[in-house]
Amino acid sequence: MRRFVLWVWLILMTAPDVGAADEWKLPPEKTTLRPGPGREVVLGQCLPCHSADYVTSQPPMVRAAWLASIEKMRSKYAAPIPTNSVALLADYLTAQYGKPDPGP
Amino acid sequence: MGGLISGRIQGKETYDLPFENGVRELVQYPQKRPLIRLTSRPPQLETPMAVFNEGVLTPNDAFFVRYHLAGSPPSKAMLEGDAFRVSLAGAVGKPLEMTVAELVRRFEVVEVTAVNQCSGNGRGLFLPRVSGGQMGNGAMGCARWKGVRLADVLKSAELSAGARQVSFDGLDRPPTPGVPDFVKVLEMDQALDPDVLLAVEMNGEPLPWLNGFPLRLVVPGHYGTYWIKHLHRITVLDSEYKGYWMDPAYRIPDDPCAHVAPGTKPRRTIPIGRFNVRSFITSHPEGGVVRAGEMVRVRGIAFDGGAGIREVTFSADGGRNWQGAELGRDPGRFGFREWTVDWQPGGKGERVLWAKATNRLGESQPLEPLWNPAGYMRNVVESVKVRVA
Ligand code: HEC
Repeated sequence: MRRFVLWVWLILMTAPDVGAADEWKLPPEKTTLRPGPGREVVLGQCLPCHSADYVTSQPPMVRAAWLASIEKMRSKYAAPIPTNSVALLADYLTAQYGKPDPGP
Repeated sequence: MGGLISGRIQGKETYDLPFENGVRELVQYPQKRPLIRLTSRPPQLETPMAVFNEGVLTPNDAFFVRYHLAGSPPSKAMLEGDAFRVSLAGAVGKPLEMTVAELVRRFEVVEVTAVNQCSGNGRGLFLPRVSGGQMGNGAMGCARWKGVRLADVLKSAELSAGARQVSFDGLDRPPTPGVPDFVKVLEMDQALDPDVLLAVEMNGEPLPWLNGFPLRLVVPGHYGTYWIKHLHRITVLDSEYKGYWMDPAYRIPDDPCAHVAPGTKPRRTIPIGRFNVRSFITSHPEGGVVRAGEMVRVRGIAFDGGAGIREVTFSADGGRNWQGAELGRDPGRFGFREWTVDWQPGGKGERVLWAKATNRLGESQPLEPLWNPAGYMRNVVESVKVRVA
């Protein structure tokens, strides 16, 4: 009996707190990136500081614009992106979320 | 212009912003109704255009959300009760530190109705497109903000003779040490403006978590970038602050209309400041249908950077004829001003509706969009296409 009372007491005391904690919880992050060569590298290099939708919501950009975006992440936000993965990142981003260069 | 709820992605409702790659999920966040989600970490949420037709005050649960740093929003443990303190230090004689309860006990509590708008509101509509947060026109809202005057707090700390600027830092945190902390600065004369508040309430309730609970800076007439959320550190400076989010971020071309030729770079830039004049039709969504031969009441809102709205005109024929709108109750010079017009649509067919506002300084809105590389300060006359059937 004593144990039962203790349980009721515990439930009554903790339930409102659990409810309140939920009010301070964000919905799950959206992480989808389209499949394609280089996807794993983008997941590793571009998601430490923000969700994938920062990338996927951009307008279709030419390769030079994606290169400029990668360069901004490195120079302004100190993203530790190795120089030898920049081309692969730009290839993936241009293929999946970009557009071809305008003709000559 | 206004998007429509247009479909579902994986069982979720989506919202179609009127530009390429503009399909977004509608997602419900704490204390919010489902809003247009731009990003999830950190959260950025946009208000659907139809909300602005509910009234001139934007409900707290529909108010837009903009964070920059993935260490946001701060946790409950950092914000509640005595855990949260705001400090004022730097070039002052008497530094302060207090809880929010102490702040409102010690200083006079006042209220202002003011629009908050993101610098990049409408960036997705820029042509040529620019990179950055891709939102429609829903990164704005108008609320009644209640709090204490920043000027009163500054004066009580006894400003030093050389005090020049004031910097503001919130509890949102960068994801890595290499990302600059989000700190913004006001010049001393701006900081002493009695309209600038340290706000604790919004529309009669404590600030929502995602809008800066428990304390945020309110800078009426100025872009949201200055309205620091979860404000916990105020520093009076005797030299000019240099920091990433003041320079090179949030800069506009040093030109009266903040623009350059599309695709070019400005020669000189200055920090973004006051809102330009804007107006919106809120009663009719893009693609809406009205009945031929019946009088139609068209409604909307207008605002500017603090001079106040003098006039709104309406056109249903691409600007050949303009009709004056009736202005609603004056909310004070910083709020959304409601306007209405009774329009006789005539015969069947498509019509393009325009609204154009002018402020008390005679400043108005351009018919052709002005461009700048960061996608700030859009204020072209917006159009809504409807069908008369
Ligand atoms: C070290 C942290 C960091 C890394 C790593 C990083 N970013 Fe970012 N990124 C940021 C910050 C900070 C912002 C600005 C956030 C804001 O204002 O909301 C940003 C914003 C962006 C934006 C929005 C446009 C803009 O310039 O503000 C894009 C696009 C973007 N990042 C792409 C990328 C891509 C692609 C990668 C991987 C190659 C990447 N980021 C890696 C920190 C990072």
